[in-house]
Amino acid sequence: MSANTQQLYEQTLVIRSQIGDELAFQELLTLYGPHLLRFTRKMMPTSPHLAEDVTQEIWLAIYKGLPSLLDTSKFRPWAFRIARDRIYREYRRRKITVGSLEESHVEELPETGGASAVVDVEELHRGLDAISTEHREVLMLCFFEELSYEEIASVTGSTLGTVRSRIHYAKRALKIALERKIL
Amino acid sequence: MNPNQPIPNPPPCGSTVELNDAVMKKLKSYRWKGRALTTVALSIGLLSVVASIVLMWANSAFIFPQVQLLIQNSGGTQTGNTNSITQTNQDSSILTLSTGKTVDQQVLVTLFLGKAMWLTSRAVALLGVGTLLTLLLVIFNRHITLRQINASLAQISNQIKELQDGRGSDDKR
Repeated sequence: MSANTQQLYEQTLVIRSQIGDELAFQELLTLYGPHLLRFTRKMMPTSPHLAEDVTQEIWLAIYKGLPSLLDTSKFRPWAFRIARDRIYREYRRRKITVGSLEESHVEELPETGGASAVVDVEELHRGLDAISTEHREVLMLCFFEELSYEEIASVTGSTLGTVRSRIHYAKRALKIALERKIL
Repeated sequence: MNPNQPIPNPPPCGSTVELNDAVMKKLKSYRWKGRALTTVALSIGLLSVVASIVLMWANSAFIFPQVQLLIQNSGGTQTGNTNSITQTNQDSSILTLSTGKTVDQQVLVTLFLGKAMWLTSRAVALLGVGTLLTLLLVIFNRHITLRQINASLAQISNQIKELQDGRGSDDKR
């Protein structure tokens, strides 16, 4: 029920922002700002300042596009979709090559026994930075932002099956990265 | 590490508040740009209306009396010399008005052009005023409706927040 109330509250904020209520938009910014900043920073780990600039651009794009959002309950995936598009646009603009998916490579790697139960947070973040962008992206959306698979599919513009397999390989890649201590 | 467990959040960074402020500043400047553009568009609309009114006034005050004078002069020339009337009536550039006065074709064309310009200016002015009034009415109505909806929504979201806070404190107990 609490999650529903929160969702309802966020929906009213989105509608109020669509109407043009500045305070509601500010509250949305307070609620989602840290999430989007974290996502952008993680997607651009080498340039934190650029990540902040891109986050500002993302919020401006959200503000501009908000009136066109019909289903207000989908604000979260919609905002992440905008964020993702902006980040990839920035990659293209700066000619940054996105780490290609190496799922076949990941599959070939031997699956070792269980990793240590406790992983240092910093170590985990370094592990995330070590894997490919697309793997990192789905892990971020799934475990940090706790989006459903359907929502991740709408954010990444891929099918549900692709999302499932990508998360599977991403988890494996992260596990290998942590085990091999390539951090 | 259990890969099915949610990854713990990184420690909160202090720059989030600064970033939010920067975003709000950027949004403010964006809104100001929008307002400035709207003002410019409205000003241009108003200017066209004013220009049309000025054109109408100039036509009535300066051009029409001059044309009238030309017609009168033309009539005077005709009454002064009967031979010339006969001569000029044969000329293709001379026309006879319903009042019996003969006038130069060029004078008549000037008169028609003036009338046409006056009518066009009037139409543009009316159209401009009508458009501006409709626009203002729509904006005003929309503003009122949205303000009412927003007030209701603000009430609802406050109630939800209070409900949530109440639940939160109950859970803590």
